[in-house]
Amino acid sequence: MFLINDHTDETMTPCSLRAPRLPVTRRAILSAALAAPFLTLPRAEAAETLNVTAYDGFVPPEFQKQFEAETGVTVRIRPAASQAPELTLLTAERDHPITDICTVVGTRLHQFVDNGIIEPIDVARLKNWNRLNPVYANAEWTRVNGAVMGVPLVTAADVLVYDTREVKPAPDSWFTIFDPKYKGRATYDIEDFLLCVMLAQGADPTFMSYLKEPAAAATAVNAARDLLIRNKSQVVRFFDEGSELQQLLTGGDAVIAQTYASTPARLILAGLPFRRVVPKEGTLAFVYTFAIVKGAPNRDGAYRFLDAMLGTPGIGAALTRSAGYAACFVDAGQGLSESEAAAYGLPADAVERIRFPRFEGQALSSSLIDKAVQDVKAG
Amino acid sequence: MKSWRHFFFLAMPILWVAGLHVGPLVAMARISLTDVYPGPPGANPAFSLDAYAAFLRQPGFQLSLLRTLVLAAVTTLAALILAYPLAYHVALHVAPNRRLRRLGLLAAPFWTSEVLRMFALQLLLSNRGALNTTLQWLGLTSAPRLLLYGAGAVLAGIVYTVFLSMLLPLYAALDSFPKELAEAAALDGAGPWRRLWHITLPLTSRGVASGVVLTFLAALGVFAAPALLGGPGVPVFATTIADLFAAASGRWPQGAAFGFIALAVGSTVAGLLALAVSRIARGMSSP
Amino acid sequence: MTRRRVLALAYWSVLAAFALPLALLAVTSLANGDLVGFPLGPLSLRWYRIALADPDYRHAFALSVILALGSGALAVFAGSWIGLAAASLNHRWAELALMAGALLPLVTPGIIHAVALRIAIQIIGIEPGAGAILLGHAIHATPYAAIMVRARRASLPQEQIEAARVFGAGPFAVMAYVVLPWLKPALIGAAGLAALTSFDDFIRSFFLGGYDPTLPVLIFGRLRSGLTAEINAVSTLVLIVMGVACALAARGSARLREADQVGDW
Repeated sequence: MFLINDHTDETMTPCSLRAPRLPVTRRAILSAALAAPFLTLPRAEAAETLNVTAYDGFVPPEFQKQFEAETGVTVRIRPAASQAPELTLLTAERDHPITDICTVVGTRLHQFVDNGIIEPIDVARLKNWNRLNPVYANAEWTRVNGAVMGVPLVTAADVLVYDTREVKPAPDSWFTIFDPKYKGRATYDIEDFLLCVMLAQGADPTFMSYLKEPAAAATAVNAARDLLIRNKSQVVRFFDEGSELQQLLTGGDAVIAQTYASTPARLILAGLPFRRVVPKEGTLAFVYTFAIVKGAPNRDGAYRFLDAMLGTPGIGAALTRSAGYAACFVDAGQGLSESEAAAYGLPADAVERIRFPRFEGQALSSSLIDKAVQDVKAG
Repeated sequence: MKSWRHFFFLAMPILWVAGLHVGPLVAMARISLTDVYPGPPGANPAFSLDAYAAFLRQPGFQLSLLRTLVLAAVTTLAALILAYPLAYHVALHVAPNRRLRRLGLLAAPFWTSEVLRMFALQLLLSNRGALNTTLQWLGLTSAPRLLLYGAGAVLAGIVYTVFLSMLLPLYAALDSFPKELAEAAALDGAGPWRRLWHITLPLTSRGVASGVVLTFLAALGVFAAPALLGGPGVPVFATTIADLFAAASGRWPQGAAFGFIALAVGSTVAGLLALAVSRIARGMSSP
Repeated sequence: MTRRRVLALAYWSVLAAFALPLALLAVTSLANGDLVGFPLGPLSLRWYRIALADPDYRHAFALSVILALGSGALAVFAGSWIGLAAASLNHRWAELALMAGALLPLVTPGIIHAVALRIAIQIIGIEPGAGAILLGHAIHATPYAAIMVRARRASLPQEQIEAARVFGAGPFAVMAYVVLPWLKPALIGAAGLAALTSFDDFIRSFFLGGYDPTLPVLIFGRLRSGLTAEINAVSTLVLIVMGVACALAARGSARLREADQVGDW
């Protein structure tokens, strides 16, 4: 018999009397003991819960506490970071929905509608509907076949953000991204920048004028796409989320960017030398809404929640501070300091240059734009 | 199968693998064979191979997969070269009661999420990051040097993500291979490199093979490093698949189909790598 | 021995290289302002105070730890059984088929696997939530255990099993007193990998979870608008807590080992 000594600290006999030790036991006990103090007691199941899938900050914490205290409903929030995973998740649970309210971005409305995820809002049940700025409350572009599909909360517009130390003179056109001075130091969100470039090239980014001739739409998209591909060396790298852009700008890797995210406002309010501008060619804006999920387990609670949100005084400022965007309420600017208002809002002449996406044009735009994004990434 | 006992011993693994590993993928496979999904509720998606054909039609997708395979392979090699000496040191040089602690120290960074570690690398390497700031403060450079957004940064980022799946199998193998053979060879006059090459490496080859397979597969699926540290070039395949699920037009079938293509190709290459390791080991053990 | 010193230097250098980015996360979390970057500006501990006071973070952390331990244990249990079963098969193709099936979750791209599991639990009838996440993490980590145990089992000299049989050990005794102790390094490695991948996992936790987010899901949601000093503070706190826990566990394990060896024969 050839006994092999495999451990330098213990001798292995063929019939070891040492009982086998489970390697995880001690570690498990100690770690669990350490975690125990951190365990809050299991949340007592309230009589009524409301499940909201929301972006970070879209339910201001003070409002949530107030609502819970006044109605006794427990508001549970599931964090979502972007539309794609949220849409995928809600589609996967489409047959057994556990969500009452979800966040829908105007540009993705058609997907939520086509997949049968959300249902129309019965505006009559929202007594405080008139607290919304009429621009958003009555807009054509928030409706599908006349039905309102979500309660507008905040609005975001594409802007140019730039580092005033490096970018001179102040830019006023989308094409500044392609200025050779900033080669390798520019960045943008491909999907949205394609639309901005289309606008700057004189095309229609809402696709409404191409509904009768899809070929013209393809031409317009390709023109924008080819411009991006030709100038790909301008880009340091592409980004998807505001957090990536924020680090690119603060880290000094990018000096000029197109974005709709709250990044410019955050940088400006932090006192960093950045500025945002709406280029002369105009821009696109869209609205983030709270929509009610089809088959929501607590539809009544959802309406109460939305109505309460609309009716809370100062909700506009609270939303702006926690979500980082301008609010859609009548009193949106009230309660914000002058610097906050400047950072989050837009000057009046810029507002005139804004275009909003249209539901009817989205099906056409999404298939063309998706392909174009792929081409830009690969090209 | 030798006996009833053996049968029951095999039953649970087979049930687990069939039910929990293969089972969930059947639904995905069905989706990949439809023409559009998700459709409006109640619609019946039709059978279609178009999703798979889309991969063959567009060289861009094939390029993305190829690039990802190469990147994963290079990362695996780099991780192997980096991890083997460390595993060797902890397994053979460090006192037994300190080994777990040394391993634990190396594993500690992995308690932070992958995305945050990549942001941390950005904090280190960006134009106004720690490294550039220090170099300029020391007077070694006058302007920030671009260190990120190239292949090197992505490679470093992926290694930083998957390192443990190479280190732990290697450690397990090195901790417990029969060292007497090496000691005997030393007594016979073999130098340390010969001992390493002809004895230690071949005897730990199964551990190396499992480390290579696990790391390669992990590297194939890594998201954050290429996304946050990579330049504007061709995206990795994991990103391509995620983009298809994220697409504004229902492209789940393509996403699922590409996923299965990645699965087939990835596992084939992983298997080939494991085979290569064992062949090389066999070659090394005969001086 | 110089070779030993060189390797020790390599170890500590790599450790330093791994720790450096984390040190930066910790340092930037001491900034008074919200943003993360250099130069730092005035320092303060306020983000740590805010993070510790936030019940969401504590709850998510506890949930992540419990899921890591639970799914790790389940994964090691299932994966080891699969690895040993594969080792016991006589036909090469049968073994290959079983191992290929075992590796499936690892080869499957993350989002595909997560969505597939989400659809699957609806069919099985499991509610989305902690239980589903535990199962999902365990399935994901099973391949680690399977592959490491299979590799380790292959190196067990047959003579040891023969010797045990000669002494009269039945199959259970052989398993308990020969095979399992031999597997220990693989079991530890697999448990470590499984627990870590579970703790870090985002995609499966997101799709299988209900309204109780794990820590990565929570952080990811907060990360959307920007990396903040608060997130860095949370990460640093997690590192500190896990480091202390592991150090205590390692010391406890070493003590028990020493105690055991006193009674060795």
